[in-house]
Amino acid sequence: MAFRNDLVQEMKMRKVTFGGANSLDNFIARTNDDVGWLRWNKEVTAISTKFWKTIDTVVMGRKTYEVSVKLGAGAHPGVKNYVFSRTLKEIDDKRVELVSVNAAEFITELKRKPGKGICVMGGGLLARSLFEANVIDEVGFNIHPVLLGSGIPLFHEMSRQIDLELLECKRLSNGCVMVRYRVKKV
Amino acid sequence: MPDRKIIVSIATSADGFIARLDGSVDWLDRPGTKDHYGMMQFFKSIDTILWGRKTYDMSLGFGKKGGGSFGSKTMNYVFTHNPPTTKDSRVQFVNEPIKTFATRLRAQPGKDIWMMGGGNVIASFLDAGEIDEFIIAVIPTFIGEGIPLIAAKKRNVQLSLLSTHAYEDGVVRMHYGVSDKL
Repeated sequence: MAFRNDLVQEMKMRKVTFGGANSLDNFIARTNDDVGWLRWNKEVTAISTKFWKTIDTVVMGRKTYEVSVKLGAGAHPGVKNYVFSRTLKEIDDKRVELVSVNAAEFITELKRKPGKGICVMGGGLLARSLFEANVIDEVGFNIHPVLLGSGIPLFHEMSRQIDLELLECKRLSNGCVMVRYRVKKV
Repeated sequence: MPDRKIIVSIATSADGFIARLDGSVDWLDRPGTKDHYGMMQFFKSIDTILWGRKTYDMSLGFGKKGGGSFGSKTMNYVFTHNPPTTKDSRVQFVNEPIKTFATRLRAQPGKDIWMMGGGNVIASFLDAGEIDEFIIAVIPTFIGEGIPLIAAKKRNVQLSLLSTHAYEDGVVRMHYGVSDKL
């Protein structure tokens, strides 16, 4: 029965999603944070709007948050925002909660609480530590038809292989390919 | 007569690598599909293969079928700064500027040309404006770290999506044309 209880528990847990728009060679921004190559259209807006309805929480690392502030966005509206940092003492924005404890443990706790989905924003180090701790359930990418050659990678190198199950692959009219995968847990 | 195209056709992991750091591609081993993700059809459209030296040497290790062999009708060019001697008439080692080589090769009558990789030779051809298309089969796994599809350098290459196909086992094949060749 223990196994079954675990299964029920797992099914009840909130889904953690990671993803975003990337170039075919897996960058999310140029070295100078430029994202001028991103393509938006109604299709992308519709998919994005639909996704945002499934979540109520956004988690991000310090760097992603700082880039977001620099771009004039800062916190995401209508959802709970958590920013993980070991160095920041405070964030001067009431919409954001600064978290300095271990991100994987914190988010695992969040997953057990009632609520909608949780979205991991930005690439980088936070995503890596969450992948390695088995916290991420689903990944989604909007692969853009461009090769940037260098820039901010969607992924930092990870110490182990993570197998995926393709959930969806959709060709968009603007030349992008939207893919969604379920993360196979070890 | 249309020009011969130089086409990168390769499998990558979902995190964008063509091999592990030691060159191994064990993660490519999977039951596969009847048409090998379109490779059988693609192979009929080419008569020439371009290799980087390391990739070629690796393939010799895999196959042992008599020298990086993809059939007796296929001509192989291997890019290296240190050309060894070879008695195999189907293998030529090349150490000349890419533009010169590619211009001459394209001028010869024949089918399309398969750029096998690895990441360095793809990058050199791409930056010389000598890659026409990419056919990428994305394997549904993150291998974590490895050799990237194209060696890093600042670039901005616009592509146009020609087709995409999702296979039942989760492999996604994407076919792109390079739209702003130099």
